[in-house]
Amino acid sequence: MTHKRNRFPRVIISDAVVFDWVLLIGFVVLAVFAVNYNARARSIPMALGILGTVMVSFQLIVDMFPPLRRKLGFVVESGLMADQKEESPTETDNVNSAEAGNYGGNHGKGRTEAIQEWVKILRLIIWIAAFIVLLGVTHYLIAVGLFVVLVTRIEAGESWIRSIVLAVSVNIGFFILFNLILNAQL
Amino acid sequence: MYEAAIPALQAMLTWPAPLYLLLGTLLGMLFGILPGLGGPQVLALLLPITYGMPVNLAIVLLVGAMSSIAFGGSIPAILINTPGTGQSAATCFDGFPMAKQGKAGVAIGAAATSSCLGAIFGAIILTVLLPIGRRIVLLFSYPEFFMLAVMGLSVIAVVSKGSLWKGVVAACLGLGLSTIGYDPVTGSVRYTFGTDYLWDGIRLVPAFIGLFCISEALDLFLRRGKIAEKSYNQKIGGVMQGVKAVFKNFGLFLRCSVIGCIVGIIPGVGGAVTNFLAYGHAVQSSKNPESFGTGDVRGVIAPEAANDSKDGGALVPTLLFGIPGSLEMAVFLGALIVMGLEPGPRMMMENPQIILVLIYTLVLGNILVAVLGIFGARVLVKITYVPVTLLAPIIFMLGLMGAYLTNGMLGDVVLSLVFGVLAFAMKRFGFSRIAVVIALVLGKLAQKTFHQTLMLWGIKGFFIRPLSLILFILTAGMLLLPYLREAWLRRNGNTSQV
Repeated sequence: MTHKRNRFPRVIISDAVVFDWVLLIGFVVLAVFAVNYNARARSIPMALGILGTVMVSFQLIVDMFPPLRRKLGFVVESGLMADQKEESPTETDNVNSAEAGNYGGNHGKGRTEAIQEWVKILRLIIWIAAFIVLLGVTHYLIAVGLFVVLVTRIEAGESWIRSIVLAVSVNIGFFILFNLILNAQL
Repeated sequence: MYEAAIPALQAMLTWPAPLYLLLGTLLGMLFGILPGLGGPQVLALLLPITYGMPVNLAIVLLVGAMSSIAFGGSIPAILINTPGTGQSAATCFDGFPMAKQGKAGVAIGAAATSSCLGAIFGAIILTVLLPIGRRIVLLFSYPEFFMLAVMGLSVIAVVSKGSLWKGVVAACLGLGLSTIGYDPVTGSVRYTFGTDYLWDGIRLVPAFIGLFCISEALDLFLRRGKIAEKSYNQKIGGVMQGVKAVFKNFGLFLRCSVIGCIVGIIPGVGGAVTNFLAYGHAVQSSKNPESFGTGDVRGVIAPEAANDSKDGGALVPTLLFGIPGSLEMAVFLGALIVMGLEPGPRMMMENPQIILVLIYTLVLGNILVAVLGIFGARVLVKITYVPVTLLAPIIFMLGLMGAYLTNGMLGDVVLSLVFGVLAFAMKRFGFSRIAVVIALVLGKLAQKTFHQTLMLWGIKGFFIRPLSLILFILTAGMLLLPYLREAWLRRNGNTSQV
């Protein structure tokens, strides 16, 4: 069993790996879509797309298979200002870390904790998206007031009174800054 | 440049410039005091407000804010052992023990004087170097500017704290993003995917707001609790004793100011490194190093002098070459571009008054923040007791509304959100945000000069001009340096084992 595990290192699927995939797709799009432009216009984005794709692929391999860090040492090489021990964990460190359930990339968080945090971030993104929609259809003071009240109450868990007081204060501050001082047409 | 000295001073002192200086200084100080927030955040938030403002006033507001960050961050470092910014971390080592001994006033007096004089030292160096540097810059043509942009990005990747590989990936990402939109050299419209909004490319103001404000607000929301858990309720006295201590240790102050200036000039190193280098120097050069860490005033003077003198140093490459010396400078460079100014030799020839206003503001802002800090430290530090859950929605709103304010376009708000999430993920997984910012700012220049070189000289244009060739060799050498160092260490280690 041990022999097999050494030959075929366990695949780690962490949030860091997901981010690597996002970057990889971004660079592939950069390289592929560059073909549509004239030779001069495509030269730089295509070069960047190809370089980025190659580099992120190596990063992905290292993040998915931590034991390969030693073989692909150039990927984990630190900048001159880095603490070598901190930034370049050893093969054993990584395997132990992964086996202990630390799937969250460099920040050493557990998988459940990382998922919980991303859910919180997703909820905040949805709140902001709702704010943007509201900003498009109503006056900005209504959008700002509602966002502050609801996010402070629901996401931050503050009391209704505190949330409303904060929203009113922010609205007054914005009105003074944007409408009275900057005379912005919002 | 010096002939504009008097008109610049007049512009600086004409109403409402002093009001903008005060506002900028107060805001910068506030952001400096709040841990997690700092120079890039306050500059990104102020950028939309400066839109359409006279350039002189916008510079006063932005530089006023920038100049007060470092000392603002030192106040909570001394009083509650919580540095407001990374560049004030070393001040904690002796500042907080002094506060515990009831010498908070001495520490704040020393920090205020040292940072104020350090800033003046940095401003003098900047004033002396700019005219000399202008002659060097005039030797530059398209290939040199291209090589300089590439070198600036490489330095940031190499000196970054995290992975070198990720630093280069981040730079590629930033450069890739800068190719979006209408290309003035080739006339092509790239990567807009049928969206009119992207024709102008990635707008710097909403991108910066996302990279610094939205990402930090997301981070704050996850952190919860209060920013600082400790409180400080004692009196602050003995300030004059601290002021005198700086003059008693003037040699140390001067040496650390020089360290700050030199580190500031190197792109990408930044204040977090400067204050530790200066503190380390103070310890090493002391006859009684054992007193450091126990409340030695020299442990406050050294990092504070370096912290503030580095701003003058960091402005040298920013103004001379358009290569930012630090993260704050990258955002500031973006602000100059948004204002229609082009940092570099042309700016110094065409707008010497603006450069002098900038230098005056740097000095006056630091004097003002020192005075405000000394008298208001005890009150100001209470800001850090605010729960982050109340602070984060305000930062969200300030950022998003700031993005909307610039052009009144919802696309800008969406762009801020996208960049905010991207920056949050980058920070979490160790990808350098500074590389993305600098690539975004320098991307257009790099592309333009790349094509202009090709048109004029062909590919050999990058290598036949001596200066361009030197810059290329330096860049390649820098990128290889960490690998060569590693190989050398491994070889040395192996030899010693044998």
